[in-house]
Amino acid sequence: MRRVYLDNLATTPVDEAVFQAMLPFFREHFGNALSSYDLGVVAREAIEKARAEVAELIKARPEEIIFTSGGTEANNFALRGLCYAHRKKGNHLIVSLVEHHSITNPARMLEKEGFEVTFLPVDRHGVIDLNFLERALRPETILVSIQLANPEVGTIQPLEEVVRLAEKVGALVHTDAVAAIPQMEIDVQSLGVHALSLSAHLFYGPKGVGALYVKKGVRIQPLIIGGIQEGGKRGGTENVAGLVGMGTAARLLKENLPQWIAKMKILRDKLIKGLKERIPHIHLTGHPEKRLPGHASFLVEFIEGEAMLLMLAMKGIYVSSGSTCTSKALKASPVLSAMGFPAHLIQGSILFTLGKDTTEEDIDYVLAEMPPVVERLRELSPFKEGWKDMEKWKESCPHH
Amino acid sequence: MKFLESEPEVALSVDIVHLMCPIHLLELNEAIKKIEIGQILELVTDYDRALEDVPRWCEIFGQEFLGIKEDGDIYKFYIRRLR
Repeated sequence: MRRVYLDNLATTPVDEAVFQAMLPFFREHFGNALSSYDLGVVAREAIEKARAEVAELIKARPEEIIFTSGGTEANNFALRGLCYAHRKKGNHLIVSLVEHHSITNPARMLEKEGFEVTFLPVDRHGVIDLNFLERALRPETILVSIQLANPEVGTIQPLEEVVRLAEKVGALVHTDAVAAIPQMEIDVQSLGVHALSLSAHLFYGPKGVGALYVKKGVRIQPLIIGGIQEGGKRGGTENVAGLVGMGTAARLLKENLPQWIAKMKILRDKLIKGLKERIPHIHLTGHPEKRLPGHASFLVEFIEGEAMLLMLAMKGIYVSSGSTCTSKALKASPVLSAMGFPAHLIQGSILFTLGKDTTEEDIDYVLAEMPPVVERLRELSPFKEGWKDMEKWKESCPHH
Repeated sequence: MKFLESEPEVALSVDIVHLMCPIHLLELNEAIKKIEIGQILELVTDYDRALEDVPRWCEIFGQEFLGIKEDGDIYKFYIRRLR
């Protein structure tokens, strides 16, 4: 059976070149980077090379990159580390309602610890409300954390505007770029953010490795306290093989991203157009233009997303329902709820995220296999009667 | 402890606030090499043990400890490179 993997924001396979680069660091070059003998030197040099490669990817300086165990740690580190380091300025932070759990949950924790948190609403496309942000910002605001792109609906946020508004009250800006990094060219200088989170496994690197960019001169309190690794900002013996993998993946991404973006965009547009033509009552979620080039998310009416996901998996099509990482948590997506969709529609959410290896044949296969799956599920759907009523209602409704 | 009235003119300032032992001494060791002999280094930290360690480090490594300036709960250490 054909296998079509379209869940590239859940994770990606490790690239062959990345895998090969990592291998010697498991056994041959197993040294601890802190050791002063040659085995340690090899590890240390490999880490610094990886740091330079990751810095180069986002146009940062190597000393501005702090390696972490992944995107979640980077997000926790940014929120807690920046809030506690700048507590003298105030106790207020702002995050959006459509952030990943690794932002909203640490924000709620900070709230319990005495900080005040404003959760920013979004419009129906998932774009943050800049007017609300402007009103919410105040001299005591320490930090604004807004994702660069939403993993669930693909919407790209107006980060430059966020930075411009935050600067007026001297607030720092962090962005979770985990979902954006495999599909967007990022330049921290032009974005103007003070901190940015990355995760390797979304761009063909290994799991368990990530990084936090912290602009030179911005103080941050360590999250993991230990030895002198990462300049004392993140203790713990380095995951050398993982970091080598992340560095190599960053270099490959830097070299190939423009071509990958161009290819993904064509295929994504074909997928969106094709599904809309073949399936009635399907709606694209997220911003129609300002979205990730390899991202197509839909609400399929009168259907339960999980059932659709399982039936597609039986056809060898791997996709996600709701946020890529929360498809196991069978509850209404907070992102789609925040965008104003009612619960019964959210149930039918489906999400395709393309990758560098997605082909036109993959898209053709989905376009051939998905419509009958939807049709069959609609026949079984508990919403079926409702659907027919809705049809009647639409016929008589002057707005349709 | 020597407290300075005003902040001297510095050639380099290193901020290690929120970082702990032994970063204060490692950074000091690196930073002092980056300035010329006769120039002054500023080390900004909130680490209390630096109050003992930095003057002692200067003594051992033959650098001149000029004193500190307190800024809330942050200390600024001033060290002149002698060698």
